[in-house]
Amino acid sequence: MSVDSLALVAILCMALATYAVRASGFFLVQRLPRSRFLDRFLHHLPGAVFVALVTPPVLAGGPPTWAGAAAVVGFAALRAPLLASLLAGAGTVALLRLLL
Amino acid sequence: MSSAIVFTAKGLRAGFLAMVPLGLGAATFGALFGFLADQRGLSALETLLMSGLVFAGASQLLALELWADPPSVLALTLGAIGVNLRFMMMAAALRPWLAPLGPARAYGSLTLLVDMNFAMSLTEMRRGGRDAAYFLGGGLLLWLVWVGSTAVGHLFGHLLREPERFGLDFLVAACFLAMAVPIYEKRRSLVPWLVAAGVAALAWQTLPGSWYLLAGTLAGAITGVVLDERR
Repeated sequence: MSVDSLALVAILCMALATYAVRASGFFLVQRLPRSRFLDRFLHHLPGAVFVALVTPPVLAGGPPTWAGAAAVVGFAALRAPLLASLLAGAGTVALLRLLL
Repeated sequence: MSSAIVFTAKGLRAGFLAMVPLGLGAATFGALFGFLADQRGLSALETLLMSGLVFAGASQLLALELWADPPSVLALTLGAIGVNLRFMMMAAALRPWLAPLGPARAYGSLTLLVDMNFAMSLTEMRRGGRDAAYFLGGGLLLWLVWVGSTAVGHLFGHLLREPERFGLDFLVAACFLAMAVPIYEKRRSLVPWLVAAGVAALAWQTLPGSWYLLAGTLAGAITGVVLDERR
């Protein structure tokens, strides 16, 4: 059980930032007029984050992670439970690493 | 319309119990987070502090993806804000319940705002529920489950050596892919997502650290806004 001091600072900053987001939505809705730009930006944000986050490591991983990503997306698109999609992805990656 | 909103122990209990089935899903996700945090080298205490204080699964997974030795405080903080900005809209949507409570109860309840709790409470609100403690009760159950399951997951992380052999190093990216699929919209998402992917890939090659995340995200989201404007 140990805590690196920089890790602790990072965790505290994440916590404060996340709470600030939670609180500010309620704070602002009581004071600001709604803006269409902000509504749309917030609407598009989560998808853009997810895609920007996974694309580079998936591309860099070569054929195993390409196929793994396709498996996860395929299972998720068929509305498989989260765990099933994840296992399909990890299994595909493991199998191809073994074969290639 | 809003005949007096109340905040009672009964509502707290109702919210807590109504959340039990969804708690099972949270437990799976929490255990997975704890397991992956161990794989990335976070200590048990660091992992539990993150689950207890940040309490937002997607941003905690993102932190694992960005985690380095030493960790970049700026990247982790911006990443958490980006992934969690959706909470702003959720908090705004809960206004009819929160506003009558007074600041202490409203801002206190908001510490436990997460997706599942928001969805349950909004449904209850639209059904005509008037007890705003329901929101806090659901949040409390989720928090307990989240922290507990994180601890269990972290405990088991040690048992598995060579996670790459089982493709487990791919799980963090897989989580984000699985979360992206349900929010894909045929008419609005394709181009913004391609832009986000392209800019992120380019920035990954040219910029240091995790700037690729900020570059790809902003490019994708702004493309989405611009395309919406022209529609």
